[in-house]
Amino acid sequence: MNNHILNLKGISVEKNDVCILEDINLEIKQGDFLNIYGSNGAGKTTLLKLLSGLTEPTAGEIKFNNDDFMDKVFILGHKNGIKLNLTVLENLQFISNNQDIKKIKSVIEKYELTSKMNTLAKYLSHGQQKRVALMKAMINDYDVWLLDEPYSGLDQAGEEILDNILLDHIKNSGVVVITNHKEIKKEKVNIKNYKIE
Amino acid sequence: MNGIINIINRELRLVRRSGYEAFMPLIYLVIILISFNIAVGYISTNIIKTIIPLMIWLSCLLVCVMNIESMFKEDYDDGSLEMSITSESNQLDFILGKILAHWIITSLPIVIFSPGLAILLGVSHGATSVLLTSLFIGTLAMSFIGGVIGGLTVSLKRSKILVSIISLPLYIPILIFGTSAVNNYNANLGYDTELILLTLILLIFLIISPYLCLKSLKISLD
Repeated sequence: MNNHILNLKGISVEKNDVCILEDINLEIKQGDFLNIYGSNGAGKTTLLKLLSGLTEPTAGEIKFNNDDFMDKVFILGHKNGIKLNLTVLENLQFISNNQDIKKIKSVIEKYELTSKMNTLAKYLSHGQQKRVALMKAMINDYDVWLLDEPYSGLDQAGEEILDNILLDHIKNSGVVVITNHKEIKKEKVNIKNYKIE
Repeated sequence: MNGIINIINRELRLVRRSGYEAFMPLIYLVIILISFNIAVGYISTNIIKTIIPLMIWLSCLLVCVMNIESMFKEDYDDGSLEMSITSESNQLDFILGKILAHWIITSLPIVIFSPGLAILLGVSHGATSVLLTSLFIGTLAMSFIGGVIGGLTVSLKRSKILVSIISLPLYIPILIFGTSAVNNYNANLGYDTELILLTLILLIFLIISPYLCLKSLKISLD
């Protein structure tokens, strides 16, 4: 069975006559954990935006294997996308159209933030705010998570929690695409590293 | 529909927690009216009574122009705009919710309080009711137009001048029809045409604004 959800063929992106991405060929399958790495200005964020549909390629072809693909994409940029003047619970309720409160609470529990449920997001640490942002993806059942440098600013404990969250998503046939400055190897999961220059 | 109500509820809760900022539109309105009354104090009362509704309209326009910039700014700054625009099924709900919430927060207080202020300043009940109707329709139309401009300029750091340059030509017809309706009432002329034209502008922008706004937000986020 062909489980490719996305194919990029010969993708190039130019902005203001500056070539940001050139001849990118990429295949993404269900259950993939893809690390896009490269130096500053290599076009990692542009590639993530391209996958999310926020940027259009100037050349090449993006082939979606599923018409509903764009409904299943969650993008998390350098900022966490949460409202600091709302509590953790409110942030999740408003993004999920007030879905089943039990589901929201179970996700909060899974992400080890039950004690902070009614705390305003501005009083959370950077790592905790990142976890709240990822909870949004989980509550709304997004399949494809596009995360721009998710490990930046996290301590070791925070990295481990994030690892577990991402691995959990992969196990459920989700897709994780992250950007980073370097190649990543982890024991628990086979990470596909893709270098762009 | 659920998504729109959800966004409006979220925005209202955020405004409640932001403190005094929620009262800024009303404070602007009161400042403009008081300053105006002091400045034209030497003119006869009858003329002032005729001009007051026009001043209220003008204050509304200025408040609307000043607030366009803030429509999507916070979402852009905290990164939630990218998330909301990426998911295709929620895009239009998000935009409609944001525009309506913006209108409720910045313009509705003025629409509600301006009849009271107008009556206090001696404007007749009839002219006040025409003013209320024209403000209700006109400010809603201005918010929908403002959504497109706010989307286009959200990624710019200092966009106030650009916002004013783009928005004022689009707001002028609304100001003309709104003030004409009140003037016509004062002159015992028909004002239905002006209100119908205002409604027409509102309907046109109600239909096209969400799509234009989405496109402009995508351009800004690109």
